[in-house]
Amino acid sequence: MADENAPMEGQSSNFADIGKEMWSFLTGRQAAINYQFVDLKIEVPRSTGAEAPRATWLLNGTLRITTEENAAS
Amino acid sequence: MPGRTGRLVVDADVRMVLNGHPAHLTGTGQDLRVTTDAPADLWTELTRAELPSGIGSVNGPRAIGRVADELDRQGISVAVVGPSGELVRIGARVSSRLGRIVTGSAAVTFGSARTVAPTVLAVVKQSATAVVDRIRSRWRRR
Repeated sequence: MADENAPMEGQSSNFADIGKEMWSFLTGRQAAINYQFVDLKIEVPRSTGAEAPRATWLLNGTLRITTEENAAS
Repeated sequence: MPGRTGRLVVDADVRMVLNGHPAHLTGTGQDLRVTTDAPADLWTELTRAELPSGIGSVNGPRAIGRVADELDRQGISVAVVGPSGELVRIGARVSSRLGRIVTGSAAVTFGSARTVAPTVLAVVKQSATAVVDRIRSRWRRR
């Protein structure tokens, strides 16, 4: 009997893969992703390393992502 | 039987301040717009970001081409608008030979020379200043 917690073949290993799988899952399910940013502060490193200088990005507003299904010929 | 494909539909109203440089992302449906008063500063800020290896670097025109191709696949177009007008449009419903040459993707088209020139000159000036500063800094350390 298969262990449900065991990693599956082709399991996602980074954000890009997770995003693609999420997109595939949501497509056609009329799902919506709503983000509301309120003074979201992101520190973006200028280079690699723990002591790297950082830029600050601030986000305020809303972002709504839905999917639209189309029949492909 | 026909297959089914999905496209992203986005409703955006996000104000961003990237290290002091404001920009505004707006749009409904599949056409988005980034408006900024200082496109050269915004470009410099974006290209200086160091992203995790899983996402990849955003440096250089080729990276813009990659983003444009991905947006094209999702049916989304993004226009970047500066004080002098539309500078660049990437993604869906865009086709440009110049874009393919510069970024590797035909899904990138540039605004008119008059619109784009001030931003290109400002980016070149900022890049040159950064190079000179780096050389001076190394020279002082010797």
